[in-house]
Amino acid sequence: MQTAKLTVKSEERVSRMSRDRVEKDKNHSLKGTLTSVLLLGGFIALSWLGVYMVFINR
Amino acid sequence: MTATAIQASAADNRPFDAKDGKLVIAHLLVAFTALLIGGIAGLLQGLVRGGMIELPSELGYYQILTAHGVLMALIFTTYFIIGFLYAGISKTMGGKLIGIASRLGWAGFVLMTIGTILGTIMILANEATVLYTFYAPLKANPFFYIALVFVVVGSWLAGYGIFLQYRYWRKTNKGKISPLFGFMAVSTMLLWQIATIGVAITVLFQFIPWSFGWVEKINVMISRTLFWYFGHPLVYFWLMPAYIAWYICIPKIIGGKIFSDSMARMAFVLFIVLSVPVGFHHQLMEPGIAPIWKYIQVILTFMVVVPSLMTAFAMFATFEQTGRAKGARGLFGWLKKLPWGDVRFFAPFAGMLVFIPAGAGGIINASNQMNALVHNTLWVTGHFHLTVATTVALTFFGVAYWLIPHVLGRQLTPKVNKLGIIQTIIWLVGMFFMSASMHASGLTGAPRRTAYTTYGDHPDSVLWMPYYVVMAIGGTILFIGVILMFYNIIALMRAPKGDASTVAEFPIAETAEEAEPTPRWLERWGVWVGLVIVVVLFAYSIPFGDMLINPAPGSKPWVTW
Amino acid sequence: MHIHRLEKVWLIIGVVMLFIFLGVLGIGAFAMGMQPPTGDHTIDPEKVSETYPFNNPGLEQIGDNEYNAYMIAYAFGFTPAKMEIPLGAKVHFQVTSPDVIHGFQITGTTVNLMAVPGEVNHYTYTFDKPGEYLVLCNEYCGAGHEYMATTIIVK
Repeated sequence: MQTAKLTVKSEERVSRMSRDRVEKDKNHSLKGTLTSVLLLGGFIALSWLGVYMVFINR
Repeated sequence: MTATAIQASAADNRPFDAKDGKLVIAHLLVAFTALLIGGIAGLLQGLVRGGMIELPSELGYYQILTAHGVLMALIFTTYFIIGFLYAGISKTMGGKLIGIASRLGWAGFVLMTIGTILGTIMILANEATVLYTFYAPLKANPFFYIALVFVVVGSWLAGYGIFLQYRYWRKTNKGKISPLFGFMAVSTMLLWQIATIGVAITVLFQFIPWSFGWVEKINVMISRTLFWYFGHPLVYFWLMPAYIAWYICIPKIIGGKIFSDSMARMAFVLFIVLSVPVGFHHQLMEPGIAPIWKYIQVILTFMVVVPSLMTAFAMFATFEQTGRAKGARGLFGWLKKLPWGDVRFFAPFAGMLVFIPAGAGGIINASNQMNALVHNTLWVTGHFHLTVATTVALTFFGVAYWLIPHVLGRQLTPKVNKLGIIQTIIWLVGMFFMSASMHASGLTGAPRRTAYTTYGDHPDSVLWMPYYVVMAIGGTILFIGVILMFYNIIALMRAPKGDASTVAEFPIAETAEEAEPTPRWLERWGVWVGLVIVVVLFAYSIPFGDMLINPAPGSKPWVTW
Repeated sequence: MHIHRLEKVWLIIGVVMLFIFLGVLGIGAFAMGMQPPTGDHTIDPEKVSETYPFNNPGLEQIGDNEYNAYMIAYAFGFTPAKMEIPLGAKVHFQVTSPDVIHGFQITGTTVNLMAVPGEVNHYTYTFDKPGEYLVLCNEYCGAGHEYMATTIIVK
């Protein structure tokens, strides 16, 4: 029973490791995605701050 | 993209069921007719506010405004959504609607159409110049409220048809995960059912008895709170079908796969649970609600931003993964691999891009005390012309280009595809001028829902006029876009018939390989409904309970137009 | 459920940003007095002009350059019209309506509240810039809505 549990756990770890390796592979890179959403987040932050400044100054 | 007709792929060339096709087309034709009439109203509004025309004495500005809101934001949207969802559940959950689903779909269509016609008559007869939000104690003709009941109950029947088709699929496919379209369609109509309870209660138990004179007074704050309990999830009822097209259809159109089936379902579950307990962010400037509860619902509002952040990531990830699989390199090389010349991609993508300023504006609107800068100004109008009138509308337009020919067994020809690209660009140009001016003038205080005036030539008001002129120009360009879209719809209806390889496809993407299958607990609807009830009770019991226990004096009816 | 590493990064950044906004708003509202308009007492809309304090609309001095301003928004105007306020005055607005819902917005300021029949709405503002401010109704109230305005003169 113990060995069966260990095998399942190490299988999960291997599949997670191989998935991480796949994620880091150039073909599966999502760096462009992260950059795009960070730009989106930056737009939200800047526009919010801009309107906040208008609010404080009125 | 391609010089030949947009190709069907082998897997999707089962012809769409003819009977179901009639149901879909019926809904889409009403939707685009509403868009046309609503568009005429919008054009007139812009020209009046810009000081360019005066209305004939038979027509009032606020009457036209009521028609514009109802036709665009209730009729166009609801009919398109039901048509699109029915098409998808027929296609993906059995290939054909079961008898009861088809009958409910038609019954819903009939009820909604009776309501639409009755409501339009009331509005044109100047009996219901109360605007699309019909706030008490403005009192319309009771048949206006009855018309709304017909529309809402009709939409409920449509929802029940979708639930029953889903239940049929689950029963005949035991042990399998439901098709993503079916899951998302059920989520959308479930949210709608939960949301409409609020407006149904206020219309059935407050407005109708009061407008008939059976009850003397109406409690204004209770009616507003019930309305806005409905009014916020209403916008997610519009957004979720657009997201369905983005998550399921767009990846297929660009030659890729769904980035994550699980996260897509998770986003929709979050919408079900978090869209409802946030109505107070539409009531931030009102009395009768304790500040702490306004702030708590603002916190919840910010939480419902999260599934949209997830969607943004999923969309970019789909584009990037697909592009890289086609050989793109570098941070943004994948942008070049997208089918820009294909209106089925271009129109929804334009909608996605516009959602960036649209969503940013929404976060600002909901920001508690900051709402004072924008409440009831044209900024708000600018915001929702980006969200529903661009993001959602362009996505729906983009869907129509393949949905109509697909259900009719016809082609999306290169000519109509080109006209679609042009229509999208016209829409973007018109909307840019109009919405930017609305945001700018609104931030300096220009009011929404107001006819032509210069407020006695007050300097602030005089400064707004140039913006109103630009809005009129933008609105006129948009009206040209409406005409072109209506023309395109007719062209799609009359397109040449296609064979198995040339008929327009119904794009349904497959999921990219994931290490784990989609968790089953996402489909435990009882848990999600339970969570909605808990969060709504948390967010509303005390403040709404206070309105019930310590009610303000009610108001008699007013007809001030 | 597997979530891509970079998606986790994005969602954490996004949620932190939203919480920063909420923190700024919360501190502003609850610790620095920048609450949205609020009101917890009611009034009979049919008896507004007979009910204290609206039986005597206008400014009431309550301190050194501090005033209560009792105002009525009605179809289609404001009482009192063309109010004059001393420069630097801290004004506690109390507004109601005897008929339908109106807006009460003073352009160029953060005063933007809903006048709801049956309720009294409150908002405090300090006028530290002189001028003739436009006060307008921004909640549709009927045929005369676009004419419903007045001014507040601060000097």
